[in-house]
Amino acid sequence: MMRHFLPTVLSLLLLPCAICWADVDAEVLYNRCEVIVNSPTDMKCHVSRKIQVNNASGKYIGLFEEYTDSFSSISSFSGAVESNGKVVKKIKKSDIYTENCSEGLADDTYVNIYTPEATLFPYTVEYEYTIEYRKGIISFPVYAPVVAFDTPVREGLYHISVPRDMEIQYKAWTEPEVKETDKTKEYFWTLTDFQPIKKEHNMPLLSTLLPVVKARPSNFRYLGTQGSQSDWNSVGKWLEEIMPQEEPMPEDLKAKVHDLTDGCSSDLEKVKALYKYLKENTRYVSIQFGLGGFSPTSPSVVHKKGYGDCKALSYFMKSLLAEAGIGSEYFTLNTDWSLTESSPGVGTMNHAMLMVPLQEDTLWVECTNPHLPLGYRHEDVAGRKVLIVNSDGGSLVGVPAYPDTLTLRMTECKVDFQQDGSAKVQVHETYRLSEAEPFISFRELKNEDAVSILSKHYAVQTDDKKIISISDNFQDYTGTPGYIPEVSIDWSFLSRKYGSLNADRILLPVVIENSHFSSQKSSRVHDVVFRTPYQEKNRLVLTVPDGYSVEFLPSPVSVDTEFASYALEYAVSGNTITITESLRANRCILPASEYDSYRSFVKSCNKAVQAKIVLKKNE
Amino acid sequence: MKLKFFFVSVFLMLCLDSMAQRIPVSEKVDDISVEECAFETYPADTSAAALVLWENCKADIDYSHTYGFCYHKVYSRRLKILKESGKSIASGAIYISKDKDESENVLRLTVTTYNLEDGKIVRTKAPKSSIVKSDYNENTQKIAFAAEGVKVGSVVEISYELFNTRFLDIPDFYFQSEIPVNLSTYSISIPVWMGFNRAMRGFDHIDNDTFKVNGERIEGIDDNTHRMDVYRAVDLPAFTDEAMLYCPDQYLDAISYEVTAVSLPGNFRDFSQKWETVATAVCESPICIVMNARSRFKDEVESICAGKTDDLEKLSAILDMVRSNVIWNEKITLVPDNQANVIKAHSGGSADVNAIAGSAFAAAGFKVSPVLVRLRSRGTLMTNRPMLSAFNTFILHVVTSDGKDLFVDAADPSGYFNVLPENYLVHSAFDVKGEASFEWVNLDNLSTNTTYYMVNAEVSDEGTVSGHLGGKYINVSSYDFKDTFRDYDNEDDLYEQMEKFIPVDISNMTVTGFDDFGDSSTLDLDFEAECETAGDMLIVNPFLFKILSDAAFTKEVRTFPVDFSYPEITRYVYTLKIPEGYAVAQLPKNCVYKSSLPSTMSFRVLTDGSTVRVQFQFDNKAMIALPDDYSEVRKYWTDVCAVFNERIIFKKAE
Repeated sequence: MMRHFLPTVLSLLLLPCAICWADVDAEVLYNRCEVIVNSPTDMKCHVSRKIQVNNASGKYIGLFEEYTDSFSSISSFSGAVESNGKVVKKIKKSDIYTENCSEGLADDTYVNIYTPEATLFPYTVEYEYTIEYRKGIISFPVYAPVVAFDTPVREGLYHISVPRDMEIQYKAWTEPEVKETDKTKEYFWTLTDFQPIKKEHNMPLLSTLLPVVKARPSNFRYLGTQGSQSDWNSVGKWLEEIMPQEEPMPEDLKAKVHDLTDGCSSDLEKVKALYKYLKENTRYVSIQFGLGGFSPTSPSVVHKKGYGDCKALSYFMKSLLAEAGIGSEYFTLNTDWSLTESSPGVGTMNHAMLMVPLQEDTLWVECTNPHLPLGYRHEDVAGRKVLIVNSDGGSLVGVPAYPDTLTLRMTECKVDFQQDGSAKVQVHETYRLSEAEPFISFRELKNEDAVSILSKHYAVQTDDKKIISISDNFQDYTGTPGYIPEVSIDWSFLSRKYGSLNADRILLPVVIENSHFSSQKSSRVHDVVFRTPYQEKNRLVLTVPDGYSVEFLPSPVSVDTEFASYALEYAVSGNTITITESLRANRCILPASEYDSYRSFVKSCNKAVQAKIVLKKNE
Repeated sequence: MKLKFFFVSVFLMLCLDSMAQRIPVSEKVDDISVEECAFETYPADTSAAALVLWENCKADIDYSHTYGFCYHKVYSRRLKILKESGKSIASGAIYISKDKDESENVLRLTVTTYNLEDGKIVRTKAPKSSIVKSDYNENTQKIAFAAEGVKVGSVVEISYELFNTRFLDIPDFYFQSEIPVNLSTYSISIPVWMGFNRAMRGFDHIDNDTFKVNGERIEGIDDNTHRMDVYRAVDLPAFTDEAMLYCPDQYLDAISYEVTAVSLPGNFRDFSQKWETVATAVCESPICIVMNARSRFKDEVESICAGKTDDLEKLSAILDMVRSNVIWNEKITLVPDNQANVIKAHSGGSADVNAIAGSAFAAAGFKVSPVLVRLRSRGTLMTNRPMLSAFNTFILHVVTSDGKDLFVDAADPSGYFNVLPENYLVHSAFDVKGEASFEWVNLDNLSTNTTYYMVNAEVSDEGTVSGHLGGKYINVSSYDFKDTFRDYDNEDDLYEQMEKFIPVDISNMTVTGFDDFGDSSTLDLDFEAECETAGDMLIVNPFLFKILSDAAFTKEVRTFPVDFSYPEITRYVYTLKIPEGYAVAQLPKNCVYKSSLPSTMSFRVLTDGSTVRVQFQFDNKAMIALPDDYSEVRKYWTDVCAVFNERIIFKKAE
């Protein structure tokens, strides 16, 4: 009996895998990367990759794309496309298309692309190439063998060979096998039959699902400099070392700073005056070249040119503040994720800003976009850990997050419904925090463009749109904690087809904003991650036209779950109906096994917003 | 010699000053007035973040001792920064060819900022460090620049000269821009020994005049006269894109020149074209050469056709065979490679697949011709400007033995005979019959395109509406359905997408036709949805989804035409069983809407006591609506879409 049972179990285990792979658009047959470090400034990366493309949807998975710059180049390349066991195309280095990938003033990054021509499916495409790096190694090429969703990897290998005395640090999905020879230390990460990852909305971060290796030398040399990235303090030390040489501030700028700030009665006033000066006299221009990718250009250059990148503008602002007697800290961050204690690295950051400690509060100043209200911590920095860089080296600090409940969109619509089915609608909208961000330069827009942005939220047709007033507190930061940017807009429109008229009844919508929720039909694979807390409150006040009375008012709806809550309530007073809608999304993780509760929440909300109020002509 | 030209052209520009711009400007480079620096808003568009104060291009074609015959332009663009968000336009880049034969070169590039400080103009010229040359790609050099000292109120002027030897290929000049234009002046000087055609585009008035001037003396050419055309445009609005436009760029105010002949002593070259000569050129090009070559699939074609009598069956089988041997690489091309290369690679562009299919059809005895198409996304074909380069691709015209005309794009797997993608549905396509012989064919009405939905539903006492939806898509409607959903080859994904399209709970879904070479496809599914219940009432929405969207008609005023996708008849029939114990309390009103467009909608609701039947039919034959008609079309569209808000109300019988 046992003898028969065993093979059956095995075949059952293999079955899902076989079915899954037969359905995929493409599969990575192997993806091998071998990094040979010859010295602290030179390395070679040999890559061999073979992908089987099963159908037209998988074609993009077979393309070749590598980035190079003035410190790296593709030294050898070959490839082939095979179909039915025959080579149908040999790919040469000259087949690669290379293009500068920046619209900035100076950027030495180039993208190298080859797109295989479609042939009879399935076909395989194979690449073998070497990229040589010179003048310094800050990190080793990131190894990410899973190249797309729904794409399995049969075999993966990442091999780093470094001189025996070179220490490396890494973050990887698994521990490597380590071998030592007389001269080298070798690290091997291997991967076999990695199952495809399904793409779903609100899924966990890919870094938690995919096999990835990010490795770097603990001590490095780069363009004639050297440093350590064994901890954040050392990373900061190196960044501080490559900062521009201190030079005297140009006299005219010095005079300007004093002119702007000497009469100010507080540090906050000085910061405000200099932030305004920054906004009026500089602009962002991307410059990413050599060490310039890590260090700012000097304040005198920014002053002369009136432009700079994020590093240069932050450092310029720091020098302006210093001249006004205000201390500040230059910091770098990653706008996509929070820096972590366990992964220090020079190349981890992609942005720079300025921290200004005040007496009662600390400012986190975005110098690249000085339109942002002073005192506001935008979404890319709030709640993140960032690296302060100063003469003591680097230190990770946490930027305070806002309480989840503060992000808000609120509308109040007064609907004056007419018997011909049209309605005059007066709207009062309020936005807070990140919801308010799109409205910072809203006053600059002409009425036509402004109302066009506002009306996109509405499901009814909007005519004769007019902005009545805009008020905000973007300049009202007082230097105390708790400042929340907020904007309120009053506008009006006419909706010619607001309700459906029919004989002696009128049908009216209960929600006029676009609000359809979607969920996936299929069973959920990943947990559902709600990352962005959100709150919306809408109030619609409707006047029942003369001669009509309410025949049907939909039942109130209230759905409360761990991840979100939704309520739609009705109140009638005289000839006025007030509809109150509220939606709150919480920051939480819903296990995949409980996805049905999300789907059922979505269904309840969708049903609620589609309801109609029925008015009937009085007899 | 150039100076002479430009002095004359400046003078001539002044002759066109009948059109005064909103902001007076000095029409001389590096001559900025205090007023230009001082003004703060542009009255014609007070929300503009930046303004083209003056753009000037003086182009000429002449002989240069350095370059030989060449195209040369002196260009300047003066910008005014009006708002913080406008500062970004003070940076930019010029892209030039690296091809040595073209000798393209930019000279005397200067980028200067002018700021008004204490009533005086302070001039800041960008140094070399703010002008960066780099290789953009193998063929192109990029010259990036960033003006210095830019603030709100600044005037920034960019000026340079450009030479190249592509003197037969005169670039278009665009008067309009993404920001408003205060004044734009353009002059072009062309020797009288060059013939040309010109064409203006756009919706705004451009003043223009023509003069005679003297050009460079060239040995052996007696007449050094040039014809100079001068243009002047003032107060042009910022160009903004609008929804439902295939090719917005074709509406930008611009001027095009096309060289038709060069007539030098002992050397006459005629570039002028008639459509007959274009037809001959097509016949001599690889388009006809590859199509008329012996089919590499002759044996397969013979075998396929053996025993078949129906032409459509033969053609379908041949096309299926061609497509299984040569996969379309999704590139739209005009000129095919030879059959052997393409078949060896098993892959090719649209021209390759069509040429091979054309050759295979011919091998089966069908009369085949190439039909050249300018895609809708590339703008309307100008039939008064004959040139082969006007076209982007070609499809096939096949005539069956009984004289039926069939048009097919052999490359596209979602298409069929007389079923083309909407980008190909043009009024004038160029059907090449032979040398100097052609016909214009209309591709936008090859077939009747129909979408038909039949819904049978019932509603429970608790308000659950359940039933079955059957959908049938014919011709371009089928193409559209297949093209929208065929990539969701995984069942889960298909369900997910379909629930976005039809927002109800879907089960037992089947689709047919996705992988078939045919003109129809079907959709069948069961659904469940909730209706409103209140006391003794049930309120049912007869539309499971909004069949049309009015999203493209949200703007109250339209500048450019509305392009519709394709002519289509959409029918939606919804039959709802009246729930037991309930009676109809309210039915939507019947209505019929018409517009000045060839488009009608009818909406009827009937009841026979046991069921309610809702019939919606939308018949739209319009391909375009002009801006003048927009207001009326918008009202029509809104009226049509309003029926999707109608409800059927049942009340419990007493």
